[in-house]
Amino acid sequence: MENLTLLNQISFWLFAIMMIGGALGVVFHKSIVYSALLLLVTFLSIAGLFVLLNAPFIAAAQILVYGVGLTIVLIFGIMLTGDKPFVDPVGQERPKRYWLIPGVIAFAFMGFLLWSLLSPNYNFTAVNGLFLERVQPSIAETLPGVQAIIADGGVTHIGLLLFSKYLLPFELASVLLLLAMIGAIILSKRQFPEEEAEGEPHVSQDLDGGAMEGKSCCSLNEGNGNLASENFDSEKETLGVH
Amino acid sequence: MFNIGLYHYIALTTILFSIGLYGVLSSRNAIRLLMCIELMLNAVNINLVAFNNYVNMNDLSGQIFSIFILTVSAAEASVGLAILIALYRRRSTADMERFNLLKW
Amino acid sequence: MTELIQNIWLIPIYPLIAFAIIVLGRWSKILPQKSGAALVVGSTFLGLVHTLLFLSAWGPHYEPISVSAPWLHAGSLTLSMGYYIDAAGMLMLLIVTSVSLLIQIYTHGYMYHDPGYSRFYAYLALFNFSMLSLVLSSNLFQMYVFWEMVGVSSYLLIGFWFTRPSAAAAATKAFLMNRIGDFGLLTGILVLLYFTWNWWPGPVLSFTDMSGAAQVALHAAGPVGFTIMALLIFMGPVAKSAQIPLHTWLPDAMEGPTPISALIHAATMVAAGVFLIARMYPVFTISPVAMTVIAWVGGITAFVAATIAITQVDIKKALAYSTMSQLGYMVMAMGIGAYAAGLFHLMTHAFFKAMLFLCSGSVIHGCHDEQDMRKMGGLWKHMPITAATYLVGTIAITGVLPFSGFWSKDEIIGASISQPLLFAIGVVTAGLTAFYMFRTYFMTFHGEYRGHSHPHESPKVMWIPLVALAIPSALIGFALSGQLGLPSFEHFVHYGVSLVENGPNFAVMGLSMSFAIGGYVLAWLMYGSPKLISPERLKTTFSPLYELLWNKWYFDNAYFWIAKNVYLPFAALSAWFDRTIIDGIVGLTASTVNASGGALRTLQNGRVQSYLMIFFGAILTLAIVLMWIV
Repeated sequence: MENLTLLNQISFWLFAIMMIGGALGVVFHKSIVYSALLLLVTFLSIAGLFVLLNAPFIAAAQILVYGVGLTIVLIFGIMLTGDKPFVDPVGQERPKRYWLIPGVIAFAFMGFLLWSLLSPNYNFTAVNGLFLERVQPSIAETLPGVQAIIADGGVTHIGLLLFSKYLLPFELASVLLLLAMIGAIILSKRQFPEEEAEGEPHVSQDLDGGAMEGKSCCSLNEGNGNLASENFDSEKETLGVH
Repeated sequence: MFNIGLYHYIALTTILFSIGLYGVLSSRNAIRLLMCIELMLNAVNINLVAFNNYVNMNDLSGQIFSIFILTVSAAEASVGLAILIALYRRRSTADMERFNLLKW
Repeated sequence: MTELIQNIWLIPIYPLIAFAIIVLGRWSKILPQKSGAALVVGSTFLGLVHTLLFLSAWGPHYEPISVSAPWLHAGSLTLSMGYYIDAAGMLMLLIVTSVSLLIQIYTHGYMYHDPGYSRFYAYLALFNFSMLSLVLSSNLFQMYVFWEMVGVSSYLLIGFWFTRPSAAAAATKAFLMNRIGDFGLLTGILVLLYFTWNWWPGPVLSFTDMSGAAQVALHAAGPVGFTIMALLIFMGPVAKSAQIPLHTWLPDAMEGPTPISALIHAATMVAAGVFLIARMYPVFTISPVAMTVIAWVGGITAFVAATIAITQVDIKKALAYSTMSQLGYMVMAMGIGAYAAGLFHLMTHAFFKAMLFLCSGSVIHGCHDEQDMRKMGGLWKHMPITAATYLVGTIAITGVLPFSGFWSKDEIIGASISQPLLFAIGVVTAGLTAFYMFRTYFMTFHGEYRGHSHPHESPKVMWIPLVALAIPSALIGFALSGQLGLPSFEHFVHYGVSLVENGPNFAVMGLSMSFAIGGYVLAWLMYGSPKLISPERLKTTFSPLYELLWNKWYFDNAYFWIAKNVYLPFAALSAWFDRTIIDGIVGLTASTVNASGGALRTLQNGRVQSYLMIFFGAILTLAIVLMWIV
């Protein structure tokens, strides 16, 4: 039991350092791909923390959803948007306000939260005696949550809760996911070249068969012919990549 | 120090949240911005599970909440990326500096 | 008969109905072209009949009748509308309806070929409505309303031929001059209202007990304030009755059609100023300073206008200055306390001056729109009726026994005997009046014809009113003088106990009549047949004097100079002040808002991250503040 506690502690610090380091890397690394990979590291460390917090099911979900799904989606995003090298579009020196003000705000936020955490005004022990330390093992094992985790990592318990107490949020979450899926498809759906071209004035007037403006645009249209086809080619390329 | 308690987790998530906040506020790459949002959401997630673990183990409601947040963040990320790609098609860049559309 | 008395308010309504019928009828093209005369003359005739019936039913003591109903409430202030009729009001009613009737008949001939025939009659009806309502008003405020309405009618009618620039300018000038006076009048009314409203239990501004209100106001305002108030009220009559210094509009108003000059600018509207003084007599009489000012304004106007009239060559303008002069007499009479004499002269003047104007209109009509007397002469042969009636009017105005002017004017002069200077002015002006009136008469009707057209007598519809007006012009003074056994004018119209000895003073009359005959002789010598004295030589001999009179005592020039050198620079300064200082302050506000907006605008840069920064910064601030408080 003692060893296990020590292992817990060592694991906590390890995961904590990995997590913070990964997060800092996500924010500060020049290359966006490295950032994505460091994000994966962060997610995995968080999964580790979940295990330490008696939440193996959440840990698994974390790895599956974040570590696998989200990271891969983000990397797809990087691929689709990063036609320039996969680094920050820096180019020139960033003005101070782009990092100084966020830095001040973020530091102040952190400082404020940590200070309030330590301030006696917010002594959580005053609210509930169980706050600071883990519950005594003898008592802990009588708690239903702990028993559920001991039994099968809480899967049954979570499943029961989801389909009883949290049924409505669960259904709503499923609707949300469906909507998100449809929304993502519609938003990222590529318009067909004809459709896209219809927005352009010169083509539409060409189709109309020459109103006054159409005539004046005819020469323009001819000049733009090459350009339009180039666009089309590039679009095909991106489609191929997709 | 070695006895890991709720305070440790809260402090940790505070730091993670602040890092994410800084990233959200400062990054120029929209993808990085989405990543930082995920960091913030994860900080909240850890908090939920930690509170569940240390405060009330009568049931696993905190974990359930974190599952919902997981769901929401997945949806957010997918829609966010879709929006980003649509934007990218229009502006052919992922630079947040160029996305100054929220202006009358 | 009681219905007639109670419904006397109908008298102004008749012309209003006629006005409405003409406007609506001509607008919808239902009404035939030349039907205005019948309608308006009919309405006025109805009014005259109503007035006469009322008069017959009114007696025997001629107690004032007053009916009024609340019109508008504003807090504790209640203004009412209604009618008030006393002897002076009755007199005005009679004058307005009878003179109007004849002039409206005359107008049919005078304006027959004018394209604005119906419009002219509509304006006439509107004027009649306003004037009769003014006469019947039961309180000062109501009177002011109709006072302005006659002003509007006058404006419309002066500018009747508005395509002529001179007519449009004259109308504007009349309007502006009257504005100055009306400003004073309104201010005076408001001051009187202020001083009577809280301290006077009776109906405010009502004519029924004006003397009580005046006493209260005198007590409340003190003598100085009360005098100022009285003089402010007097500014209204000064402008309306064309007294110096607000007189310059009246000669220019002759740009209007001649029937208008006869009706509005000789007989009725300009007399409204005198009528207002009569109505407000309780206020003026308890302020000696105001009375003195009124008397002197009237006297000076009488003299100055008479001198100007000497040099005028335009027949209508000469008559206009004559009107001014006679109005000066009336105002002077009011000022010296000869209430009845003033109103008596108002009445006789209304008849003979209306007739003189109509004669001048007849002459102008006969000479094909020629107004310059230098191009007339010898018209006696061509238009005998006009000439005869003009002669009657001239004799009447000069005050030769027994014509009406003799009785009324000499009564005024007789009343002024207590103030020698005014008396001297009155007598001299009587001589001047005789001179300039006979001058116009000789220049127009005697000698050889100097024009180029073929003068002809006017049609019947025009000369019948002339003859009809000649009768009262000649006789009404004598009839009401108290010499024939008939009740005298003062028996009907008087103000309280007569302030001065009124009644024919034959010594004074003889003096003034001798002056008048002197004026006549001089006019005959200069302009009559033998031409014993050459006007041209006099003109060169007394060149500066002639220049002074020819330029109308430089009043117009002075006003022009003031407008140009005082008013316009001041206006420019005001404009500069407005544009630079006021607009500067306004602009500063705007630019401050603009600048702060510009500063805040940088916050709205369209970047989500900036918004998020603000968002989190705000949360942080709020949290720290809350922490501080809690």
